[in-house]
Amino acid sequence: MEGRKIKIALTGNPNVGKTTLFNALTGSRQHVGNWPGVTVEKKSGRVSYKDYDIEVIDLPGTYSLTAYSMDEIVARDFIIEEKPDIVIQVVDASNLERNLYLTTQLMELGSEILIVLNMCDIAEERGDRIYIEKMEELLATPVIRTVASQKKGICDLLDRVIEQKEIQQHHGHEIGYGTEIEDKILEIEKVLAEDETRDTRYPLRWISIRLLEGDSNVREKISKSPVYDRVMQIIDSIDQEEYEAEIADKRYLAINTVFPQMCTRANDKLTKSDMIDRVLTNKYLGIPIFLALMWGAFELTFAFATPFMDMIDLASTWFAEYVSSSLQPAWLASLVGDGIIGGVGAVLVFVPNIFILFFLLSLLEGSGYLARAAFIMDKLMYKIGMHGKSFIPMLMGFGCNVPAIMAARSIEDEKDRLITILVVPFVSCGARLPIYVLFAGTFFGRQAGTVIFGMYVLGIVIAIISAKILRTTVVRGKPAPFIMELPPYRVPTLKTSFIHMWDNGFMYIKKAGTIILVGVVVIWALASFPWGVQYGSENSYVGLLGHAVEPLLKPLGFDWKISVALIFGLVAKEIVVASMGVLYGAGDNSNVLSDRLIADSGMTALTSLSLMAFSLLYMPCVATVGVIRKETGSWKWTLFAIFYGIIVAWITAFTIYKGGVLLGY
Amino acid sequence: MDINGTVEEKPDTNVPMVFSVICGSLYIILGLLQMASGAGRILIGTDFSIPLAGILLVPADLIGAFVLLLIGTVFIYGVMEMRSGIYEGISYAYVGILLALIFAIIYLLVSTGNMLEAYLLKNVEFAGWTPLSDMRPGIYLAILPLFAYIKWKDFFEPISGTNIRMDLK
Repeated sequence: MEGRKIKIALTGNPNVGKTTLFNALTGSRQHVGNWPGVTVEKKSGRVSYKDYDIEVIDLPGTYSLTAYSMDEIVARDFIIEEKPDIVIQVVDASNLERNLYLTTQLMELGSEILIVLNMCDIAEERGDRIYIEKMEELLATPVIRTVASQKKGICDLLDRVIEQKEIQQHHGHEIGYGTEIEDKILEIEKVLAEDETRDTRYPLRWISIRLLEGDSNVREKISKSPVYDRVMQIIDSIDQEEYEAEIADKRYLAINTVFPQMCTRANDKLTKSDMIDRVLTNKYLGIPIFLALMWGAFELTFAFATPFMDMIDLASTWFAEYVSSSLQPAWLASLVGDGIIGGVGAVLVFVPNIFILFFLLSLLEGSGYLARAAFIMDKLMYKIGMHGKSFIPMLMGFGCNVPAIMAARSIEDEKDRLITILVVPFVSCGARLPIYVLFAGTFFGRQAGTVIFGMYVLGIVIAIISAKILRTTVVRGKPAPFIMELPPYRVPTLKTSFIHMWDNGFMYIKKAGTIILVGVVVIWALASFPWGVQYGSENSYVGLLGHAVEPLLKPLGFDWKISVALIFGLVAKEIVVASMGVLYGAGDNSNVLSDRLIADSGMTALTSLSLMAFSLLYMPCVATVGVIRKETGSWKWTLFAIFYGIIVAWITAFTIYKGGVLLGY
Repeated sequence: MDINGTVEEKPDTNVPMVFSVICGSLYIILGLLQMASGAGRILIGTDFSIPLAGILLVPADLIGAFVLLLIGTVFIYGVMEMRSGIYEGISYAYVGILLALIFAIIYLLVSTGNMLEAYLLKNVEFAGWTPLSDMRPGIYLAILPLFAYIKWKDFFEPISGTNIRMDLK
């Protein structure tokens, strides 16, 4: 069945619906969002169709095949080095002209291209008309119409993929760049051809053009070639900026020549998207509206979830009582009751909050509003030394810091990217939410939603201040200019939002059953030994550990129990709550835990505020540390992120606690 | 509804302008009242109350006051643009309506949660809770934008293939 295999790659501009098409083709549930840069790593899936085993690879979105950002390099290297049978360029039909720039570059790569016109519904609603047959004729490339979100046109697309693979009729495409540039291309091609050891996967004409455009990645690829110096002599003899501009001009000229023949655009109209943007991106109203909407989201996350939390509480209390009374010997009942159910249950009770938060974030993302949030924050971000694009990873951090740090790959400038990676851990992720819900709910009553919102704002403020400090000290320089495409507003589909909610919420439940379970068993063991001590007392191992760390955290208002919870929270932030459940012997009942926290003379509203701030800012979880190491490629920056976070957390918590004491709270 | 506008001749914005003046003023007045209640509670103490605030079901909630003032400002901003002859000022009326509805939905969902606590789970903290306990300006003021949204839904739709818009009647 070797001949029945087809490998296809999905490429295209950011936010044109590649992942939606990937999901429609493969039945996957990869995350899609209505803003550029959701996919930062290539993803692979399979589909069986008419006896063909088709491997589909979803590549990060790129506007061109230059090497300005990591995701562009990922996409380009895959197309060249893996040589997929067919490269499917997903094109936003409502933005056809701009999408064709990438088409010209794909053609130069010599790839077998198939164009998928996606989002035709939006283009047609606007009144645009695209003449598909004419487009196929002018581009000498098959063109298929799809609405991937509704799975329309998928079978047609697969049929054309098979057809293309079978006929293996390759059309060469070339754009003429004018006599002067063409002469230089030929000259470089001739020199490169003399190197018999060269990588033949790269077309010579393409390499030559890229070198004339000043592509440092391609230059590096040929740096070991024996003809490198001669090639560089040619490159050094030209005005590279002028050539780069001229090459881009010629590509646009080619597009402008064919575009009017394949598409007629409707007159510009004031669309709903325009109307909404006029207000939401208003320089005075944009930021207040953003803050109000985020507050609304967190108010709902807390208040609407409370009865569901209570329902879980009731059910699990019954379960804990049943299990504890049925188990013998006593140590096993303690392990299950105080340890496992007490710890894991204390975390599981917050599942409704997590689900609601992810659902709301998905609605905001799917509507296209998060892209606007980055836009309205750009001016402020630039002033403090951050790239406007950095705000998107920061907003993604509300869900989980790990993908948020990876999303920084779409930032072209290395310094901008590094600063973003270092400050994203300050953004409050879903794992920290249970800590806020527990303490804000216990000590702030009806104002809990506002306190939780305040914690999220604090995270963003600290991230922004840190960026300013980093930009003026260790990562000096000015942020690169910000250009971002604003996607049209869309009504987010409930299905997509529920899938997003379920996937992330389930990850939280899974974590409760794995890493948190292990954590609470360890804490239970430390709280139970040496044998014979009172469970969780100061004489137990956990008490000794807490007392050892307590002097460092005492100035923040924390006792030994909180110190222990914070130590275990280094593994995963949820363990802070799980530890409190175990150490306070509250079982899985969050109401009991709340009552015991109130009864604890060491715990006050002020201490809880200081604790929430410290939990928000101190060292990110192990998974985040791992991804910082991977993305920076440096232990130095990873250790910097860890210690910087701890210091910032200590100073902030100290300021809150001592400030509150001075004010008489 | 009549079609009476063209590219050159933009439709009349008098009706959305009057609507925005009314809505904007109501939101701002009640927002200020709510702000005064919230600030008074913090500065003077829990005994502080404004008589009118009780009648109008205005809670002492500063963030809620900020939301009301924001929605009111969006409406008034649109009035200023429409008065200057900028047709696109109707965008503020449209977004003002949407924001009013979004926040009313948020408050209603919060109230639904409280209702579950009071009637289903019989939580003692919610003893004596009635639907009126959670009634606030953010909910009842949204009735006007809700009617406007239902009646003018098509007003904000561009007509396919032309630049002609529906006018309000």
